[in-house]
Formats: sequence, structure tokens, C-alpha cells
Amino acid sequence: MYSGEELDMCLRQIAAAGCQQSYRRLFHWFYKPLKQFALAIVKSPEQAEEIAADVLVNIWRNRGQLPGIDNIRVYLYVSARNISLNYLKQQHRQATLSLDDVSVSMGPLAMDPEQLFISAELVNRVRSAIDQLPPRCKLIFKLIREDGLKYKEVASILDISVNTIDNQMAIAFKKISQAIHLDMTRRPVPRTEG
Amino acid sequence: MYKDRIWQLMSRKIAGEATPEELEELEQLTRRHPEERFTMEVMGSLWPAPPRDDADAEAEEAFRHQWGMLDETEAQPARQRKLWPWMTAAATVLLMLGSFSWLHWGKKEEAPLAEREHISEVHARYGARTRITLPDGSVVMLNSGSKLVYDNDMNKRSVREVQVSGEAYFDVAKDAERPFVIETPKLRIHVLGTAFNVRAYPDERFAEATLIRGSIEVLLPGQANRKILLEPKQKLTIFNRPAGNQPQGPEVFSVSALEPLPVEDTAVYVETGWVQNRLTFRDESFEELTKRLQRWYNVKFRFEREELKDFRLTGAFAGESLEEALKAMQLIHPFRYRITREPASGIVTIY
Repeated sequence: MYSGEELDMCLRQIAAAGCQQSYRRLFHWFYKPLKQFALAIVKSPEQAEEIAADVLVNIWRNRGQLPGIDNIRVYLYVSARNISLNYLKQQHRQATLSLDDVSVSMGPLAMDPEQLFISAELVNRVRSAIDQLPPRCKLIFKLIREDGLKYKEVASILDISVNTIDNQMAIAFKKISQAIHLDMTRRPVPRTEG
Repeated sequence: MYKDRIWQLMSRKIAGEATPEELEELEQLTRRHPEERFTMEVMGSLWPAPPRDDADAEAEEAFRHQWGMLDETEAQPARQRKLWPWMTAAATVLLMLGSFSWLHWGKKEEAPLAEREHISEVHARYGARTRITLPDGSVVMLNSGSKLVYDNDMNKRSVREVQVSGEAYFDVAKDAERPFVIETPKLRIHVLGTAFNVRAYPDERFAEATLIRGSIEVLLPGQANRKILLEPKQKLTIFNRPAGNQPQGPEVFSVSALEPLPVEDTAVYVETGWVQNRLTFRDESFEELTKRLQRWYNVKFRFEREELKDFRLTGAFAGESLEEALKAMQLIHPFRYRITREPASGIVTIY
């Protein structure tokens, strides 16, 4: 993950100097997340790759205009969303983003059972609780946890209110913590400090 | 219920969205319900997400691939004009510096497209077709020997304007507030969100707009109040005036319905077959067809026997080479050909 300062610096280098190395870093930061975002909408891996590449190539091609872009992260995801929807339209499937019809794949959890004093079974429970989140909720949870986006950014990208993001995140936490507590009813609660 | 509030505050805290007051409130709540501290610790361990194993390798591969193509177009000699990269090696995007004698109809609040600051010009040279994604998300397929001019700032304008010379297939992103307008020397087309084909090659006798989905409004030159509304699967054809005719006379045009090609099982139309990389034609004269073959295969045609120009052909090519196409046409009507290869492109003599 990159910091806000790193991202700003990178964009300045691209816009002002046409710096290839900075563009490569940008590509590394965003290619996979954009591809997965597009994949959730279009559900075709080849198409999702093309969309992610399209979005990033457009950044290079129009790099002179980068300083005019308010929030590059929102810009990248919104471009990916628009191109994805266009693709769906071409397939005569739909013209608007249906958040109940996205399919989101989750990355690894990297929870260390030993360090957390929890069982491997609990880790599995958490994983399956995340996997079973409703599509809309899962997409929002993924964008915030894995892509590191802010509530406000996700709201702009998905064209829904910050309030909805807040509610969906609370739902995700509720389902996951219910899975944790389901486990705890069957074994003594481990004590941890902190 | 306190739990709902805890989940809300916990998610805000872990996502870095909580205010100091909310953090304090969460602290109070978990003090009263210590079992939630454990939940929070487990949930907190989900943050930040570790990177996916394959993410870097995949990004690097995609980067190298895209950069390779960008590089190829950037490396071309720049001369006075600045060359911009584009995704296919076949196409070159030029920063537009010159001006064009485009016709403008109706009033405009903004400067003509050609005079704006950030415009791009995309050419699909003979023998190549190019796919372009515009800043608003609209997708344009540009056929061989065609040109598209667009405004990189189109998202900031009240009207999304583009200009086409040649043939292009548009899939326009919906935006009810900013109509999409396409200008050609013979037609002006207003769109809200739709898919359609425009054909206006300077060397052809007619200009055509074909609608696949949605609705479009076509304005004829010099007749700003004359609007023709097309329905899906209809096309509008405008015929050029014979030379010397007075421009005041009414335009000769026709609106006709599309029929799927008989040779295809799916809905492929002559008008838009090229978008799927098919060269399609119905009852066209050999002479008309060679104009399209010239662009498609980047060759020149010469007829040694005049009577061959008039025989009529229907068919579709998908990926055939020039020779395969000529051989298929020989089955419809006997003729002979020879191909002379020259440095840049070939000459096909029909006799």
C-alpha cells in the first residue's frame, strides 16, 4: 500500500516529467485493484484486464491533465466503473450498476491464530463469514479493507451515500463478529490484554 | 441495541473513519462489555489487508505489455507535432494543431472543437481498425481510413462533442445532462446514450447513420430545424448532391430498416459488421466494394475491364486475407487479378 504523500509525489512526477518509473509504480498500485473492481461488475477476467489497462493507459496518455483531477483514486475507479458498464451495455445486459449483482473475490486474511490466541477454526469461520456477505456489503468491505479507500471515496465511486457505506460496514462487522461469538459459545474465552 | 452501535463504531475505528468522540464512546462501550474487546482485536487483525500474492507479478506483466505498445507509438518521429501514444500500434493519436473546415450548425456556447486546448485526434490508417475509450467512458470503434477528433475535457463541457471523418461505431455512455454530439461534414447527430454507426467517407457518394440501440436525432446541414428521429434498427442515408447543383435544394435522403445478413446465424448487419472485424456487403457493385477493400486491406484497385465494375456482390469476410477474399469473389463472378507489391501497399489489377 502507498501513502497519500507517495501517491501525490508519484502523480507530480508523471504529470511534470513524464516519469516512466513513477507511472510504473502507479500501475503496480492500481492495476490489480482496478481489475478486481471491473471483474466484480463484468465477471469476465479478460475483459476486466482490458478495462484496468485502458484506465491506466488513459492516465499516461492524458498525463498533462493530472493536476486538474481532484481525487485520482475516485477518478480511476469511476473510469473503471464507466467502462465496465459500457461493456455490459454492449453485451445488452444492463446499463446501470447493480450492486446486488456484483461478484467479489476476497484476498487473503493473514490472521495469525497463534499470535491472536485463537483457533484455526475461528479463522475459518471469519473467512467464511466474509465470503458469505451479501454482494453489496462484500464489495464495500473489500474496497475499504483491501483497497484502502475511504468511506467518502467508496460512496462517490459506487454513487451511493456515505451513510449507506457506514451501514454496510456495520453489517459486515456484525456478521463477522457473530461468527466469532458463535465460536466462543463453544469454548472458553481466551483472555487477551490490550 | 448497544451491539449495533459497537459494530458501527468498531468499523469506523478500524477503517480510520472515527472521530475522537466516537473513539471515546467505543472505549466506554467496550469497558462495559469486555467480550467485545476480543472481537475488536480479531477484527483489527484483518487490517491492513496483506497484498495478494500474484498482484505484483500480474501488474508488472500488464505494465510491460501496455508500455511496449505505448513505446512503439511514442517512438515514431515527432516532427512538429507532438505524438501521443495509443493502445494499438496501428493507430496514432496526434495532438491536433491544424484547423478543419468542419461545418457548424446551430448556436454554440463554447469554442469550436478545433480551437480548444486539449483535443486529441485519432487516426485508423488503412488496413487497421482502432478502439478508443473517450474520457466520459463512451467507446468508439474507428474503421480503416477514418479519423476521430475529441475534447479531452469533454467531461467539463455542457455538450460532449466529437467529429468524425470516415466511419465509426459509437457506444455512448449515458449522461442525461450532457448530450453527446457527433459532427460530420454532412450530418450532425444528437445522442443521449446509445449504440450506432456513422459512415461519412469523403470519397463515397453518401453519408449514413445507423442506429442499433437507443434513439438519436439527426440534423441535416443548413437545416437546423429539420430533425430526423431514428428508431433502433433503422438507418438514414444522405446522398451527395450532383456536382454543380444549388445548395438550396432539399437533401436527398432515405430512412430504411436494417435486415440481418442472410449468411449469418446471429444478428450481424452489413452496417456494423466491421465492428466485429467482419467486412460485410450486400448487393454492392464491385467498384463500390473495392473502395472498402482498399481501406480494409490497405491496397489500391485498378480495373482493366470496365464491365467488371458493375457486377454485384453480397457476402461477409471475417479474417480472410486479401487473396482469400479475391478467390471467394471469383467464385461469385469470374475475373482474374494480379497483385503488385510495392514498398508501402499493393496494387490489385482486376481483369
